[in-house]
Amino acid sequence: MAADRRHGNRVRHALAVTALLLCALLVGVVSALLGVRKQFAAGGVRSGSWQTNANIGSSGAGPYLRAGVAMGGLLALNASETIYYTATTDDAGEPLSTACQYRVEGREPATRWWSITAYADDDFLIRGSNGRYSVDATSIEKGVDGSFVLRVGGEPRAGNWISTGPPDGGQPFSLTLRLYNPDASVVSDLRGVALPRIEREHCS
Amino acid sequence: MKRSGWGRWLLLALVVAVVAHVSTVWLLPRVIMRIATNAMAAREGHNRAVFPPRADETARTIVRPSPDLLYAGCAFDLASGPVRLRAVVPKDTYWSLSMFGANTDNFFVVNDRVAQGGAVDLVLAPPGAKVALPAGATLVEAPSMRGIVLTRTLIASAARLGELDEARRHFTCAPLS
Repeated sequence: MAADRRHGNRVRHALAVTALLLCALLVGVVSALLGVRKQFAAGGVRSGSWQTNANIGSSGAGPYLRAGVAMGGLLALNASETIYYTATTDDAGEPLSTACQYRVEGREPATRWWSITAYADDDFLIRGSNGRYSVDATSIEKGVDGSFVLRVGGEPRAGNWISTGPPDGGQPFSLTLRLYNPDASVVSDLRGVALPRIEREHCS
Repeated sequence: MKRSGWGRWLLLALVVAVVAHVSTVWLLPRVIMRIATNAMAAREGHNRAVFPPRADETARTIVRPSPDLLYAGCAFDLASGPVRLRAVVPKDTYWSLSMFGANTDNFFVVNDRVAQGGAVDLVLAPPGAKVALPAGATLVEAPSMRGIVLTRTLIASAARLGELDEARRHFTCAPLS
């Protein structure tokens, strides 16, 4: 009897230790995934709703940024070639949602070429956008002073418009502003660049 | 079980969690890059140029593709020796050729402003490799044996799409023999 009890205790103990170590393994992996998940959008520099990191794509990237870029922006160029600003919220800090319409107003940045593109939460182009994924320096309608107003949302709009597809219950999305061959003044002051404002108009 | 025994297991659990966390962060870019490299190589094999269609919502291989660019790619593998990369640089639009190592770092880039003479001719080789460079070619040392080469061509206007698509298809990626 006593031998059986000791054996039973050993089995229970072994099971408890195994469960503990498996939990620890899970905690380690999941915390790493959560820690790097939004590194491409988050990171070092914020300007309004837009965030970037000067070390994207570079060998100076830390392990978290490198892992985050691999998940959210694989094959991104380094900052000397292209700067990627990403916004996941509007200027009021509310997460961008496919259930809402947005007014994006700004002025052409000091760069050779630029574009704004909308991406779904899975980091691919939004399904159901009917080809209205982006606007860029060559296609956007703008004033003589370089100012522009862009509409972002699922409701078709005249002029500059990026579609976020059907509301689909209000899915999160993000906007990425790419600056190709940015001027030296931009590279040296990523925080000080005047970037478009993102204002929510209404939600369905 | 004695309390001291459990303390030992809890300490081991903490070590396991930390090692799993650090390993995951380190491995993620390398695993994702390997998957992307293999996916690109699955089309034509290693050291062969691929020309994916213009990105739209059905493009699901590389995250955050730009629908305003035309890409050409090559999954390189230097195990059998250096690889030669040649490309025609289109006029009056943004163009670049970039190289990414196995850890995802962008270790080389040349754009249309820097490229001289409307073309680039590069030989990619492991560090320290003795390479008989063809005349006019430039040597680039790769930090890893495998990785990806990508060209980006801005579609400057819808009217130029055909011309720019033809230009990107001059990109070649092949073993230097």
